[in-house]
Amino acid sequence: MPLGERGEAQTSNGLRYAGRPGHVESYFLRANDPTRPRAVWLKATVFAPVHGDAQIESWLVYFDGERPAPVGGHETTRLRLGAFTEAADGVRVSACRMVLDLGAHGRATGEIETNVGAARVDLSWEPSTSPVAEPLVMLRSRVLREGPFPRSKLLTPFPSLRFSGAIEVGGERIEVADWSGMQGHNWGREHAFEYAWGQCLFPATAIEPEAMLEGFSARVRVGQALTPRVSCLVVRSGEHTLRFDRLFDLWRQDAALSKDRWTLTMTGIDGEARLEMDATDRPVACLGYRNPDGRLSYCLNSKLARVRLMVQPRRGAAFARESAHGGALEFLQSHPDARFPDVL
Amino acid sequence: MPSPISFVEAMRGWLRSADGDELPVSFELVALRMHHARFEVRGVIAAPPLVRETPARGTLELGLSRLAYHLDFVGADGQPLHLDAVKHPSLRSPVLSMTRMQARILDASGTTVASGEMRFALEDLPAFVLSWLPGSQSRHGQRQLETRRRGLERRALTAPEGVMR
Repeated sequence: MPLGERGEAQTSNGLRYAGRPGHVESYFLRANDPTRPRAVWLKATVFAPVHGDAQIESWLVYFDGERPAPVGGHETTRLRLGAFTEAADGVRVSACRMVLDLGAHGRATGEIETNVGAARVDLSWEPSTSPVAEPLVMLRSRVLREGPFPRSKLLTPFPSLRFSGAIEVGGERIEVADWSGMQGHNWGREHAFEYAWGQCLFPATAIEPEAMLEGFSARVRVGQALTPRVSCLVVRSGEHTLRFDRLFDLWRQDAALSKDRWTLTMTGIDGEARLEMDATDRPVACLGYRNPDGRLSYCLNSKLARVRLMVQPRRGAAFARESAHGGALEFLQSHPDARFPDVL
Repeated sequence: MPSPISFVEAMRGWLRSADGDELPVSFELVALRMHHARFEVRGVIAAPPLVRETPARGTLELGLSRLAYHLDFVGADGQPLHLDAVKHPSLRSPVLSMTRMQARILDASGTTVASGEMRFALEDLPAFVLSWLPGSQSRHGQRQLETRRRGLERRALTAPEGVMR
C-alpha cells in the first residue's frame, strides 16, 4: 500500500543505515530569517564507503546576503556506536561536535570549525501550526521509496518549522527568532548523478494561507546509463496540496537548469505550476559530497534564492507566491565549478 | 424579455504583463440573465499578483462569429481593471475555436497591462453543457449547478476586494 503523504513523522527520521558498506545518509536543517537575507544550514551525514570504515560528518553553512561569501565548516570522524540513538521525540544524531535532536520539537547544539574560526549553534524548533507542516513524501510509490531504484531517496519529515536560539560565527552572535525552515532526510547507495532541488516557505498573510513548495529535477543512474531528467513538484497552500509527481510523464514537465537558476513547468491532474528559483548574485557554497564508490559530487548550495511560484489549479482560483530571499536551492553535479575553487 | 437560461463557465490560462512577467489567470462566472444576445455575468477572477481572487461583473455577448467577454473588477492595488476576451467560433476547428480565446487586461486608461490566452478545460465540458439545459436538467444536475452557483457567489462576497462600478 503506498505510504500516505500525511503522517509517519516518527519513522521518516528512522536511520536507514544498517551497518553495511555502500551507503550515504543525511539529516539536514535549514532556517531562514524572514526579514533579512540570512540563513543557516546544518547537516549530519553517515558515510559508509565501499572500501574503508564508516564515518560521520557534520556541516554548517551560514549565508548572509550582506557578506561576499558564505561561512562554512565541515568535520569528519569515524562512525562510532551511539552516534544514533532514539530520543523522546525522534532520533538523536551525534555528528562530530554537533548534536541534532531530530523531532517535532527538536534542538541542535554544538560547534564546528569554519573558514572564519569556530562556529557554535544552539537552535530549537517546533512545527508551524498550519497544514503545510505535515510530513511530506515526494516519492509516493513504495516501490520508488523502498526499492533499489532510484539509488537515492528523500523524505521531508518536517516541511515547516519555526526556529529560535542563536548561532555564533566568526565571533559574531546572531540571534535567531522565529526563523522559518525545514528538516529533511535523504539516503541511498550514492548521490544522484545530477539534480536541482528546491524548497521554499511562503508565510501566511492577511489574505493568503501559509504555503510551501518542494521539488527536484534529476538524472539518476540506471546501471551504466542515465535517465532523462525527471522532475517532481509538490505545492501546498493552506489545506490544499497539488502534486505533480508522475516522474516519467516527460510530456508534462519541462525543466531548465543553468548555473544558478532552475525553472520548472509541471502539468498534471491537479493543474499547472510554473516555478522559478534563482540564486544569481546570492551567496553560494560549494560542498564536496563523497559517494561510497569514491567519486566526488559537487553541491552548489544556496539558501537565499529568489522564488516565484505560479499555480493554475484544476479547481479554484489561480495563485502566485514570491519570496525575495527564502528559497533553498541546490544543484548537484559530477564536475567541479571553476567559480568555486574552494570546496568544503 | 430576459431569458431564464443561465450557465456556469470556468476558463483559465496564462498572460504576460507589460513588464514581460508571466501570470496565471482564471475566472469562473455565472451567467445570470440574457437580453438581446447579451448575458449579464458575475463571478470571480484571479491573475496574481496583478489581481488576487476578486469579484468580477460584466457581460458576455453572443454572436455568430464572436463571443466576447467584458469584465470589470478591482486589482490587487485597489485600482479598477477590465478584461476583454474574444472567441471566434469556426466550423473548421470547432473545439479549438470554442475552447480558446485571446484575453487582455486593461487599466482605467485603456492601456493593456497583460495579455495572453485563456482556455476552457475540456474536463469541465459536461458540467458546462448541463448548465445550459434548464428544461432537461436532472434534479441532480440542477442541485450541482445551484451548489456551484452558490459557491461562486460566496467566493465573490468573501473575496478581499469589493465589486466595482
